[in-house]
Amino acid sequence: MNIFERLQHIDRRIMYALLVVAIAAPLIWRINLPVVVTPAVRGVYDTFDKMPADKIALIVVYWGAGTVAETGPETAAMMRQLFMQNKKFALLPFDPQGSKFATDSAKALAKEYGKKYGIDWVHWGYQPISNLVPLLQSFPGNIKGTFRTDAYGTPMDKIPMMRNVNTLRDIGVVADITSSGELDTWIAYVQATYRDAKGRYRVPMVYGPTAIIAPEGFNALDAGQIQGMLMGMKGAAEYEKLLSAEGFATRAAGALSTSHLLIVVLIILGNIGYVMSRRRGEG
Amino acid sequence: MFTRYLIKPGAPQWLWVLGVIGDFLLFGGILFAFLQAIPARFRRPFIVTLTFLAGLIYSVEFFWPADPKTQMNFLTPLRLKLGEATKVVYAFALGLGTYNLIRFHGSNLIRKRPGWHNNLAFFISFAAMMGVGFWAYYAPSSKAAANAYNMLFEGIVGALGATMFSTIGFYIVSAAYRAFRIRSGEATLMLLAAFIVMLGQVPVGAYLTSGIPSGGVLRNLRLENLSYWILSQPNMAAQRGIWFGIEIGALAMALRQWLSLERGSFFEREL
Repeated sequence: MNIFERLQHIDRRIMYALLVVAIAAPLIWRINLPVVVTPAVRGVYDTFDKMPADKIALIVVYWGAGTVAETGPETAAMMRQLFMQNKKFALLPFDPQGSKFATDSAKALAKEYGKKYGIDWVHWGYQPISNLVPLLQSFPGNIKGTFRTDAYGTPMDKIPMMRNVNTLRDIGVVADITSSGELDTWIAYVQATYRDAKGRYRVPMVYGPTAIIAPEGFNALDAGQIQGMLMGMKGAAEYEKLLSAEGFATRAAGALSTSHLLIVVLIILGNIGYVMSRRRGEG
Repeated sequence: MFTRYLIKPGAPQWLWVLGVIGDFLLFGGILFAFLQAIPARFRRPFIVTLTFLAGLIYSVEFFWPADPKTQMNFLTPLRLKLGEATKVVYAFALGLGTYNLIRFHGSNLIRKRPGWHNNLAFFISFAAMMGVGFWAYYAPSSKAAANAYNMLFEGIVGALGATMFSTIGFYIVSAAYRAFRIRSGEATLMLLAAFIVMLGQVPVGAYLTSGIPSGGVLRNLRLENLSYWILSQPNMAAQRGIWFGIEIGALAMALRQWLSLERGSFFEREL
C-alpha cells in the first residue's frame, strides 16, 4: 500500500485517538479564540431584554444527559440573563434528566444572584413528552388548571410569582431548549392559535436547539415565528459573551474548534490520497 | 368525569387516583361491552363514525368564525376540555408501556432464553430506580434517600446517556472522513459548503479569517458570515422545500386516518 492509499484508509482507531486529544487538550489548556455574536443569538438576548417585567418567561427543557454539553449552557445562560435583569421565569421540563439538570443550574444561579424559589423562579413539574400536544392545547388558556401544583406539590395559587399568571398572555417569552424537533408543535398549537377575550396573542419565542438540529430553526427564524436562536454550544458561547459571563460553553468552544479542524484535516488528507491515486491510475 | 362530582376538592390524593381509574374502567368497560354486543358488521362503521366525529370537532373549531368579543366559537371550550381529557388517556399509556416491558422481559427470564441476564438487569434496574424514587419522594428530608437517588439518576442514568451520545462523535469523524470524497462536481460543492459551515460554526473559523475587515462588503468573506449565510439562505430554502413535502404528506396521512381510509395490517383487521 503506497502513501496515497494509506491516506485513504487511515485506521479508525488512530482517528479516535486523535479526536480524544483534540477534545481534551483545549479543555485542559485553554485556547482563547474570538467569539463573534451572530444576529440569531442577539435576537435571543434582545427578546428577553424587551420582555415586560410584569410577565414571566417560560423555559421549556426537553433535553437530557446526552446533550447537556450543548443545551445545559444554553439554559444556564438564559436563566442568568433573566436573573441579571430581575425577571422571573418558570421551568417546564419534558425530560426527567433535563428537569434535574436545569433545576440544579437554576438553584446555583439563584444563589449567585440572591434569588428565591417561588418569588423569582418556579418549576412547573416534569411532564411526559407524550402529553405534549394535549398539554399545549390546554395550558395556554388555563395554566393553574392544567398544572395545579409546582414540582414540589405546592398549589400554584400559593406561589407568590404565580398569583397573576393565569394564561399565555401572562407569559412574555417562551424559550424552547431542545435536543429534539418539537418547535413546530409549539408554534402550531401555542403561538399561532392562542386567542382569548382580548384577541390574538402571539407569544414571542426563542429557540435553543442542539447544533445538529439548528439548521431546521432557520425556517421559523426567517418567518419571524422565533425571534432568536442559539445554535448549540457555539450559540451558548456567543450568549455568554453578550452577558459578559464566560462559562462552560466559552471554555468548550476551543475543544469544538480543534475537533472540527481535525475533521477538516482528515477529509483533506483522504481527498489528497483519492485524487493522487486517480491521477496515477490506481483509483 | 364522575369523579369530580363524587369526590370533594381536598380529598386524599389516593381517592382521586382510584376515582380516575374507576372512571376509566367504567367508561372503557361500557364501550367495550357495547362493541361486543353489536353485530360484527356494525363495529367498523361505528368506529369509523366515532373517529370522523372526533376529528370533525377539531376541524370545525379551527375553521368556524370566532366571536369578535371572546375570540372563541361554540366549540372552543370543548376543544380545551378535550385537550385535558386526552392528557389523562395519554397517562394510561405509561401503564401499558410498563406492563408490556414486564411481560416481555418476564417471559424471557422465566424461559431462560439466550441473553436472559439482560432481562434480569431490567427488573433489577426497574425495581431499584422505582424503589429509590419513591423513597426520595416520600422522605424528602432523608439524606440517604437523596444520595441514593442522585447516585442512580446522575451517576448511572445520566452518565450512561451522556456516554451513549458522546460515542456518536467518534462515528461522525470516521464517517465524514470516508464519505466526503470529491467524486463529482456536486460532491465537491457539498464538501466546500461543509468546510465553510464546519469552520464557520466554531471560533477557529472567525480566527482564520480575522484578517478580513469586519465592515464593508469584504466582511461577507469572513468564514462566520459565509457560514451564517449558507445556513440562513440556501439551507433555509432547502429546509422549506423538504418541509412542504413532509407537511403535504402528513396532511394526506391525517385525512386518510380521519376518514378511516388507511390500509394496512392493523386497519384491515376484523374487529
